[in-house]
Amino acid sequence: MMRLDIDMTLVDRARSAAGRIADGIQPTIDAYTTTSIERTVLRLLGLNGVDENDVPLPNIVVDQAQAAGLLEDGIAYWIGSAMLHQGLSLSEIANALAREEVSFDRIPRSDHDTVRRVIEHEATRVCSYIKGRRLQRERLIVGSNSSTPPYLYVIVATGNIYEDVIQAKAAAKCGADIIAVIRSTGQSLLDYVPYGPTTEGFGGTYATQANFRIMREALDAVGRECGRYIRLVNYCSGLCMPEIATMGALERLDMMLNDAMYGILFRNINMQRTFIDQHFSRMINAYAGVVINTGEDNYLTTSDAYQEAHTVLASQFINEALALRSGLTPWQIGLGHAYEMDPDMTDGFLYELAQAEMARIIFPEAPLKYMPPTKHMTGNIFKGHLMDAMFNLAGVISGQTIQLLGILTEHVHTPHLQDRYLAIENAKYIMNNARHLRQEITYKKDGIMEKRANEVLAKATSMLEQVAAISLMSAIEDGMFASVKRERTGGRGLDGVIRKSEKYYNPFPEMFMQELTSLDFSPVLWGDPVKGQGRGSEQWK
Amino acid sequence: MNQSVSSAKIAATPSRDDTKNPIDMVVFSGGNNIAVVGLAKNSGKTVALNAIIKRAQAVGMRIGVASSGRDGEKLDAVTRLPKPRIEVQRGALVATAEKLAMSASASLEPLIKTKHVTVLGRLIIYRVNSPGAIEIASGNKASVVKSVTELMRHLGAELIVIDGAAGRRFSSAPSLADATILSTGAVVAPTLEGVVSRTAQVVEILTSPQWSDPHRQRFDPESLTNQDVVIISSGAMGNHVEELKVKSVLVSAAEIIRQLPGPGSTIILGGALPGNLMRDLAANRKARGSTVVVGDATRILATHRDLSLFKSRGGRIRVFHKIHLQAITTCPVAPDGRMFDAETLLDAVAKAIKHIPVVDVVAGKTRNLPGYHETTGDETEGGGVA
Amino acid sequence: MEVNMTRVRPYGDTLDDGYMQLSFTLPVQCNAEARKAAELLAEKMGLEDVKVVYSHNIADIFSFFVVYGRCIHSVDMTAIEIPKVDADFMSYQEINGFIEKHIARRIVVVAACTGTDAHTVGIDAIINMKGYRGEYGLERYPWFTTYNLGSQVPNEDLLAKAIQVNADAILVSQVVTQRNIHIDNLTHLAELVEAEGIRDKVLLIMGGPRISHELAIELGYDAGFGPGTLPSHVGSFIAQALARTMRNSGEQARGVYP
Repeated sequence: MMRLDIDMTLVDRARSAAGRIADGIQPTIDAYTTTSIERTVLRLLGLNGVDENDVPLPNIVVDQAQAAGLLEDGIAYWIGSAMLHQGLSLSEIANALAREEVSFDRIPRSDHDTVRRVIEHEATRVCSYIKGRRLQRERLIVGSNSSTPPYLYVIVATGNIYEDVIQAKAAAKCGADIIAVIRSTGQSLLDYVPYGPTTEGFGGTYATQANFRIMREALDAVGRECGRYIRLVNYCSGLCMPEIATMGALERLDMMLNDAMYGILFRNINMQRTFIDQHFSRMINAYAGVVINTGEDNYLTTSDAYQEAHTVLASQFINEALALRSGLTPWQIGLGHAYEMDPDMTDGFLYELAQAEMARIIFPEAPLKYMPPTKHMTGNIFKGHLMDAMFNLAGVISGQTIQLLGILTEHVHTPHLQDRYLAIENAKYIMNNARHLRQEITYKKDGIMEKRANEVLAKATSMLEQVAAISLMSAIEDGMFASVKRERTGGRGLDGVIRKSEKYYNPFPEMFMQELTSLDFSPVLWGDPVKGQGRGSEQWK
Repeated sequence: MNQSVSSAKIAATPSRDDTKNPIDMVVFSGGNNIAVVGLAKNSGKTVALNAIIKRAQAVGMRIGVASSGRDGEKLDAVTRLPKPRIEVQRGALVATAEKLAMSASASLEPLIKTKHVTVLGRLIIYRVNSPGAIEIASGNKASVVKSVTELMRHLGAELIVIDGAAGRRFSSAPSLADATILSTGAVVAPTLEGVVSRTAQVVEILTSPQWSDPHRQRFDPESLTNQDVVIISSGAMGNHVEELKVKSVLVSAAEIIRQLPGPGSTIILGGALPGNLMRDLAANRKARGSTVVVGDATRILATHRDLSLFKSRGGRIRVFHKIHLQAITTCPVAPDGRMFDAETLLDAVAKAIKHIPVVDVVAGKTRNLPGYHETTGDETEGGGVA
Repeated sequence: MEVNMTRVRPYGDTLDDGYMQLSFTLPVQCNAEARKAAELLAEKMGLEDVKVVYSHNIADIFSFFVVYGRCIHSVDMTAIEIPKVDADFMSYQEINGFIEKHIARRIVVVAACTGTDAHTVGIDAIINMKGYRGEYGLERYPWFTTYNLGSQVPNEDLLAKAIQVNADAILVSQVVTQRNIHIDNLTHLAELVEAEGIRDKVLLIMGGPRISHELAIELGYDAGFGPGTLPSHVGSFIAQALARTMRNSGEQARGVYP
């Protein structure tokens, strides 16, 4: 049953424009590598750890290779050459470089095929390890009770991973399905990944591999107690996107915030760097069976949610097109949108619901991620709790998949333990109370909602066609997204973008894509395929 | 800038036996201007300040009290929790703003209206005529604090105590104070280890050793401004001195590094030493083993991490004028109610910072007193911090 | 209704009944002892007639309470004094006229959200052309030259820009206040300005939803602007403070009692 009558020819036009936009970026993605991608290659090959100044070994190796002008060939080639020449393991080489006992200047070029043999041996090992982690997740999901979507997503943000664990476990016991550990503010601008368990962060906890592992173990334990699989989320964004994707793949994270344009617009990270990094990071996420969450909600925190609704939809199309090109399956693409209209607006709920239904219809297989009110939360926790209730009602009626729960103390502090309990209680009450309302209602033909949805779609389509005509990078330079103008050569991280040489070598994209493009690739994310829950999409259609 | 604050000697010099207590040691150190600075807000500065005032007034010293921030208020501006008041006896001099003087419970007699108008009104030097609590704010700039302390000295203050503002440490500059007390406490970090390591890091920076190079004589550090950068390099033809005029090291770090002839150079900065310069120098092979010289340790605004990175590449930090850190005070309680065992904290700080006396003023316990001796120059590389 | 301003108490449904509601969590199992503990805690907080109207178990190791009680305390509102930024607030026209008359050149302002702070809403409202609540931002004022450096600006970069353009005032916005990170950031900037030896040449101003003028004074800033600040408030303060500095630089200390 078509719930809102949406002009599907416009949807097709928009999707094809988004495809042209993504295709326009691809030559840049193919021609360049970045320091973070090269560090990722080292991490995938098993390099981890820091020197005595807490500088991560992957940074030391890549910085030295970059200074020697060697990154254009790929770090995999040069580290392989160094291993052959010195007769040392990867971590021995890295430590020797850190102590300045070995220098890339003194490493001669080795035979390419020999290097490939050495590196591919290691690469195959890590690929099967990551695949093993994916299959482990699938077993855990199939072996536990599945919640009914919308899945309840809450955040923890104490700054101390051990405190986060206490809060995450409490939230899971209250009924949360998904736990996101908010990152310390500013981590997106660090050009390295901090190391080890951390207990001091600002407004969040540093994303480190050790912290990932600690939380994963805790959620597996509480999941066993509750008989449900509790999903873990972190942030695969900023200057270290693909490195964090790798850490998540190794530690079996289930979701990653991973937007193609967020860093450019809202963190002033260079656009070339971001487009190149997002491609490789999404490939890793795809292979690991991770669901990505895109960040369209951010468009509405700086602009009016009613006026700018079409920019959210346009960005969803672009994120979808880019994600598909990185090998993600549609049910791994958690496109974001948000309930952010001014609560004083007459019929605001109708517009919100219209847009939520529209997204559901346009992206039928996507595990849509619905974000709660934040901009108009004031500190009046009582009204805030009501606004969150309306948001929850919109979520359950429109069949959203991932419901990021609103917290009554938004705008006051990062959620306290009781705030999270109240948020979950609110969601459970409304979603249970109105569970099948979705199946009982249809919308009025040519009514306020249908008109609204088609108006937003039309605007988004024309915006996408404009962007496709001038290219995505030019559109960003012109300030077409979020009214933010970014220069092609501006922002942070451009110095880490390197044109690949003819001989560039990175074993992973090929190994990943081979599996991702095979017809067998169908990660289990949301339930037991035997019960008809395999891809999830059946559940929220 | 004038380096030595004043040479006026303290009238009443009691017997040296009193130096068993570090507060006494500070009061009778012969230092005339004592700065009390802290690692953070609520780290126990006011308690230390009161102990010094009380001790000095008990032996009849004429004291002067100034604050580089604002102190003595009833409630904390951030936590809204009660704060210790500043208690003064008859005869003390106080430099504070007009508006704050009105709320004092001590009776105050204005002596000098200064030219400085602050956000709390004009700064006035008062004499205390009857004992009580006072609130002080004596200007938010080094230049103003210096001017009011000089006025109090002129009016006969023998010992001037300058209270620091929150975690700001500029008042410990040798141009303002000839002795410094550093307050640390539970507020600094959630764990004991955190408190100790942060304290040790700050001490390491504050006690940066003096530059003892023969070139020292050639420079008048007082005349250097943030536009002056001097690079000294030694080559086959002897030493080469390159004097640069820059907009500021903050603007011109790249240019300074470009001018470096090679490893082992000395870089004199007339202004601040920022973290990005440390990182840039550490990343550049030309800058290996270089020495960076600044006026005094309050100019060092790089994080300990950035400084360590620089030092790990053979870098050294030196100062023209050394800060005389006389004592560290520990406060085991944080405003959020967190509490360490007083002696455990005292012992841990004392163990990590062996060369400086450590005192818990409230508990009346001290550490590191026996065998205390001031080390000088290059011996204290790394501040002697374990 | 006759309210005694020296003894103000909460109003529930009659004057001075002192009724308050609160909710909190205790890290203990929810049982009769826990409810008693919640009641005792409320009493210790100065409530009487305490009623624990709701308690609920969270994850078996926490308990959540909603509590009502009558507050035994009162406050003397006549004794409250809140330090406010010392300026006569002027309009857009008045500010421009004032600068033209007393300063006779454009005032240069550099602004940023420093450290890891990514929230530019406040600084944009004060600086950017568009302004806030129908008031133009300082960028629009003919007698101001403004530079808005945006968010996540290191203190070093902010000060470098201020030095480059000979700024008269530096505006820092801080929104993130977890674990008092804003205090560390603001302290570091002030120390940097002092270490560079230019504190006498520049006004240091802080702003943000959790910023007060009191905090500004304590950290050695010249002014602190909290929620609800309009561009003209900041503009008035800068113009008047700068005029005062220029006037005072000639004035000498004079003793009242020589």
